[in-house]
Amino acid sequence: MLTCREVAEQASEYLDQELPWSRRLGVRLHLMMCRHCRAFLANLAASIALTRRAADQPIDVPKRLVDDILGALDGKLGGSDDAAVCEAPAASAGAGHGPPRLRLVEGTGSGDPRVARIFREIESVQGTVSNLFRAYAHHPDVLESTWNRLRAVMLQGTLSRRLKECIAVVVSSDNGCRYCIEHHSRALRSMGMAQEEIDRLVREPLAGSFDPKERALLALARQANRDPHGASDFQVAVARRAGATDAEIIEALAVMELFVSFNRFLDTLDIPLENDRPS
Amino acid sequence: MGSADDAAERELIAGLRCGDNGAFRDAVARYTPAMLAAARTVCDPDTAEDVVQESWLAVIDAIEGFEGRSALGTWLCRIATNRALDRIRRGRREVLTDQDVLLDPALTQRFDEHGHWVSGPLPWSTDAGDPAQQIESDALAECIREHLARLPENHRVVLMMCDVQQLSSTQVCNILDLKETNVRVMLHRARQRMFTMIEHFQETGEC
Repeated sequence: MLTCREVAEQASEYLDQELPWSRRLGVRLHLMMCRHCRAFLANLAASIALTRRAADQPIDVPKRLVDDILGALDGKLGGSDDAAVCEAPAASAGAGHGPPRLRLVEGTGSGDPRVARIFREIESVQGTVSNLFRAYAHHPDVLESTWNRLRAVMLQGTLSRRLKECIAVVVSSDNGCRYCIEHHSRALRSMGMAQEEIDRLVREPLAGSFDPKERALLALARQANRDPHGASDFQVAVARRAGATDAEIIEALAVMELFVSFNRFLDTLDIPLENDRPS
Repeated sequence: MGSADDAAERELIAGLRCGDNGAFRDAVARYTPAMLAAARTVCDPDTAEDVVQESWLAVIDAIEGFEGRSALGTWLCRIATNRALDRIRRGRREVLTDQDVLLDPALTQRFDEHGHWVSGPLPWSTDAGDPAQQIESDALAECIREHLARLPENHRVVLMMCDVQQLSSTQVCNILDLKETNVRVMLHRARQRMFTMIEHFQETGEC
């Protein structure tokens, strides 16, 4: 049989229904026979309610406080007033219907030896000549410089190919370019990344398995694409602190630039994916 | 929390890590009320606002060390609470040596050596259980607030979070980074102090 003192010791746990079944039963038995303890528990419960009433003041957050906080944060982050840059990507438009906006240069390069040479080079590196280059092929100088730029940015440098393909997918996803998302998801799959991981990359880009340097560079590339004026000293400092060299910062931004130009070019001319409109 | 919320929270945390303005805006809008409530359990409203602002600035650097073992909101409340405690502790630091004693000294002396009541409590007037009636008495409410302020700070914070803001005991443990048994003892001790004070008021009409 519990003593009154023992009941008083467990009174809060009893009131909060946190006692295990057997101890709860012990308290109940005691209460049936002890009016003092019944009074104590009732009074303790009442005093809890009274305290709540007396101390419960509504917590309202003054707008001034929120403004002060945001002002102070902006000051420290060195950012601008521009809108959020981490929203979910919009769905892409995809290949349209009806006649193509631009005829693609088929086969091995429509008899132009320079185009034919570049096509062979592309084929030897990428396996096939994608519709992107079949579109650029109308302008051999632009084709050549674009191909050289792609090689310099994607196939050379010090950042991992995986990170660069991830930047390509994320930037393209932010710009809603289905063509590039397809192509570069394929590249990631060929490097052994699972489809779920790629889906997740598109859904929540910064939560993937990156080391701090990679994550900072990805974030910076994203910021540059979506809201360059909102880029902050702090973001660049984070990338540097995580070990990124100046050349690597340039490299990450160059991947962004490359895909921004591809995204705009492809979607403006509505260039279809190869398997959408077999050539 | 659903997995969609988890994903949104991970994305938000990643944004905060990158110093992303938009992420900070979202987070400030979402978590400032809870942080302010947490700070208010410790200090006066004006100081609490200062503390919350200061906490957000600290988050810029601290977020890199956030391990995600608790929810982001809980972690932010912990920062605000600790900073508020630091403020009021400046100059004095209370050390409680009887953390595992379940009964308040005032109550202990009301039991004899066999554990029976020496002077058993009397049921308060029939209105006693009805807070609406009782709080009519401004004097009592004033007296309660005065005694709350005199509680040891840890006890007061626990009582405010558990009984006034009615957070779950898990949340309180996580915010204060304390074991559940410690929180229970502190809560029980704080309640007894308030009980003794209110009982005195009931009997004498004086604070």
